[in-house]
Amino acid sequence: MQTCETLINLKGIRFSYEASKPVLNGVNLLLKKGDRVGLTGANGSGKTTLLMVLVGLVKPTEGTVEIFGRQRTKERDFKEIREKIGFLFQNPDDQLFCPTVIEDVAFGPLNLGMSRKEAIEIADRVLSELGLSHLRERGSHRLSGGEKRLVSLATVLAMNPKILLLDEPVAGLDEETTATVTEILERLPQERIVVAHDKEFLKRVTNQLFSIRKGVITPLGELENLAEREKSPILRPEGRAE
Amino acid sequence: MHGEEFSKGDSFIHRLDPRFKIVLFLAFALTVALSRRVETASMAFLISLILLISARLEISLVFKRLLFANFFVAFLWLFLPFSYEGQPLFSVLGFNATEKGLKESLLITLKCNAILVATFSLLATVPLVELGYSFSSLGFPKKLVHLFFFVVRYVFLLHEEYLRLHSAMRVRCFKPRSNLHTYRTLAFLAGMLLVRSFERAERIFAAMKCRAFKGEFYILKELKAKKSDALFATVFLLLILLLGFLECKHAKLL
Repeated sequence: MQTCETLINLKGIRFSYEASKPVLNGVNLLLKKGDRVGLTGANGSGKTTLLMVLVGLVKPTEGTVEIFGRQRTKERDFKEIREKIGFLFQNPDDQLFCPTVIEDVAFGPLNLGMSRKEAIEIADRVLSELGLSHLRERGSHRLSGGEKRLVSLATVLAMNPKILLLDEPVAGLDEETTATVTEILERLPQERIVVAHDKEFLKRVTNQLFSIRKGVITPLGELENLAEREKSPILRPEGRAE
Repeated sequence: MHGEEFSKGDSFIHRLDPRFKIVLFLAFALTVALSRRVETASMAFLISLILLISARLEISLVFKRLLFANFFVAFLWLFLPFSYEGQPLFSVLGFNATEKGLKESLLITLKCNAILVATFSLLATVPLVELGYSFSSLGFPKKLVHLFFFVVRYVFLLHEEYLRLHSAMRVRCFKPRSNLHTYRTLAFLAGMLLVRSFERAERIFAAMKCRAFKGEFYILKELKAKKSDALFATVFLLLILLLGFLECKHAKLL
């Protein structure tokens, strides 16, 4: 029963760019149906690397990657799952490479074997859902930072992914765009792993919080508890007077 | 860096089908490049000027660009007039300038400027992305077209990166001088750009793989030709033929 509810199961993942400094040192992570995992950690702590492991862009030296109930090792296994996992890159400039926005959003669906007409329909629908229809014909290099991020999200959503992997989706965005992205992510139904530094943001778009430190993942507790703790008088100086 | 200064405008030249402009430009440039007569070259220059006026481009910018290119042409004028044998017209420091030499210099200057001005008015009035679409629609090899699109997309980023690094150097009081420190620093800058673009290429490829890239790109845009395109093409082709006629008459081929 439990296996069919498990979407991602990482066991003992180890990886290092340099032999002396392991980035991931035995990471275990479980993503079940309905899970929305938030992941924080210092710069260079391996958050992005972990996401890369999940889609097979980085091959771990040790450990097993199990996704949708099957162990994934070869490039071919990952090709299959990349169609079902939407990965939002940290830098939208890496993600948007087509001449115009509509082509970029339609790129994924076309790769999935849809006809031009279907792909354009899907792309237009996603763009309008995200309120980006006016950017349709714009060249990717003519977008503002916020627009780039939203269009990147559109390119990911156009593939109708089962799971979202979001690498710092609101880093470097202004308040308004952050609010827009937050609202969109709250509304989306997908299970997800979100890497971010902003805990307020994570509280809204995820329901569990983990931290990665020295190559291992430790839970920061259910977010409700976290919120409770933050309400406690000890942590709030102005409450101490009572 | 902008690279698309001339593509914004609403003249009838701007509204022409870019594919027609590319093909006509190539025909024009080839004809001009092959011409050997000052008359033909002057005529071609005149045609390109008419194009320029019809495209209503910002003249100061056109002038600036031309000045830059003619800087190299100026060197020709230093040497070419004195490089041919014949009746000397005048002499400088014992070197004789001949009529043939002067004509040759004038010919090259006219040809060069005619092609340049035609480039501004025909090619540069097409936004880069549409230029790519046209290449694809004209049946250019797929790989070249995609290469072109990637260059358009990332050359701006590379330039931004360069500007960032350059400002970072300047805020730390870097002043280029003719010394080893300068050369080393500039080499660092170039090396850093190379490394960064390599890393970026890897990240882009990763992102493409994540979106199920299977080695195929898709171009969605379809271009449609209008009546005005056909009309312009006819007139322009006639003009090119006229150039050819002028040229051949001289060569006594007709």
